[in-house]
Amino acid sequence: MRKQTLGFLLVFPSLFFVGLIAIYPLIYNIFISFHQYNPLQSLEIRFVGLQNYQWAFTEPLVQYSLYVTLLFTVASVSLEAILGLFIAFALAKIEATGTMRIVKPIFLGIFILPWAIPTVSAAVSWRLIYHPMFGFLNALIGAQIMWLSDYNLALFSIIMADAWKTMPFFLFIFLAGIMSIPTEHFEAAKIDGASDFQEFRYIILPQIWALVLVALSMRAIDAFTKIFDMVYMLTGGGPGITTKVFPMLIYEYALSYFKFGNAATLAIISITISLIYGTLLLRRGLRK
Amino acid sequence: MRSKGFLLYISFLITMSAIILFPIVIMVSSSLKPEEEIYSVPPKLFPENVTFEHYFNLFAHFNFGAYTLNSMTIAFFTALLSTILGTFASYGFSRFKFKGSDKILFFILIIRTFTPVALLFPLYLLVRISGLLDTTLAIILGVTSLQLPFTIWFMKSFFDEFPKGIEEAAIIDGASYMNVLFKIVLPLSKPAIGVVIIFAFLAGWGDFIFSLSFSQTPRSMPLTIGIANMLTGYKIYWGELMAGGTYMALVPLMIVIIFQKYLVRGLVAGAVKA
Repeated sequence: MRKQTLGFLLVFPSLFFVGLIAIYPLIYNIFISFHQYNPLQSLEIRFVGLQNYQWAFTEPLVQYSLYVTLLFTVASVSLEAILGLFIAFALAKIEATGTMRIVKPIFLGIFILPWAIPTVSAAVSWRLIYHPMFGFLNALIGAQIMWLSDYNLALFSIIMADAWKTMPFFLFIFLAGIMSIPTEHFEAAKIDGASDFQEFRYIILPQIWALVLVALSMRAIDAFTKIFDMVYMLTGGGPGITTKVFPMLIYEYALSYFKFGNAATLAIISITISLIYGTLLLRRGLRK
Repeated sequence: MRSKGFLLYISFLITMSAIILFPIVIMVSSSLKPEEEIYSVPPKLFPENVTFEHYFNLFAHFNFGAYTLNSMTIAFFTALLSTILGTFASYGFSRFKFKGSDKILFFILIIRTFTPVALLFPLYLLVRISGLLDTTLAIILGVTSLQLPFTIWFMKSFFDEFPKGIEEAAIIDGASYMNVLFKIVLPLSKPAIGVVIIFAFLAGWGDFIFSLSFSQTPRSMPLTIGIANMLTGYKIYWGELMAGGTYMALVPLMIVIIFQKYLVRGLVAGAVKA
């Protein structure tokens, strides 16, 4: 058998599968986005031209939802990255003392836990922590705060829970990066009498900066497109529309209101963002 | 002592560990508290009287037996399907480049950046027409399609670094490509395959969006949706909710504790490779 044919045969089942589950919906979305299709009212699929797009670009709810999602992405990703970086640095420092062979695996074992726990499990725990009456957070700080139903706080509460859940991603990437820096650099710095801050700022940060950027950009698109479970479990998009992130908005138009034309248009907008962002990301990644 | 800021670092790490452990400790301890202790103000960190009644109720009143079976089915078949399809595909992408294979790979990888919700309602219609609504099969197919890009990406970078000399020697000795794959390459790839199996299993176990959309009754409902539905009822049974969350987290926690080293490799692979 020719090598090329074999290659195609190996790839084909996955391609067929992805084609069916991802490309078919993509094409169907494009088709429906030019139509009105509200199966709760009528089964007719009526051509409406660009009307859905006109709606999407003028509807305040859509703009607000994109804004909330962007805010969530920037805030939670920065928080996670900063925490991950500090913890990785601290771990590297105690590792450098050489006598921490037992302690480090314990810390790592603890820090990986949030990543392992299903979002749904994490979310029910945060529901209890945030509970205004018998929640632990209010008891801890001695306040009466409605963490999940206050218009100004709900998004912040979701960001905290998400940062808790996703911090390990950055921690383990950064730790791997720091550990791969040749030890001569640190020894040279020590001889020169560099402080820990100088070591962090002038040795570690420049060495892992490329890694930081890659991790940030990968995690950012993930946060932007995959935020759903946590919001569904904690606030359901409320109070009002304050935490209605974009994936949730699409979900509601699709499977709560059954306004397929609108849902398809929002889906196309989201996929377009992913395509542009993903192409830039992958191009850069593949060029290296 | 050893290092100037040693105490500072260790106390920072202990504080962070406490914050990280806090939600887990609360969930487990609340799941063991009798009803009245859960509602006590201020709440206590640990139960005074330990009870397992909430765990019992999960199975007696909340259908957790059926949910567990469905979650297991979804996780197992997602792992099986995505690993078999993905391993073959990534070997093809890595070894037998054909015309357009780079473009196909690019497309499969970029699907990872899509929001799964965007694919939902066309899939929902497809699932309904084909009579798969409210079956675990529909959920398995959905999760697998989103897991495949990761599997292919991870396995391809593994195969790319796999020493080709062994394979070439076997070919010269007259082995067929398929023989080389099954007898030489796959047995040596066990650690990498282990990583993608575990990642796919966890993805299936924790799936929310596809289950929420395709599952309607306990016939196909997994633990994630079973637990989510406990929040929408007339009354929230906090003890059972915490027990459910703890129960569901047990399987991933055990997997992570046993396979920690492999998993970190999978977690880190994306960024370090890309």
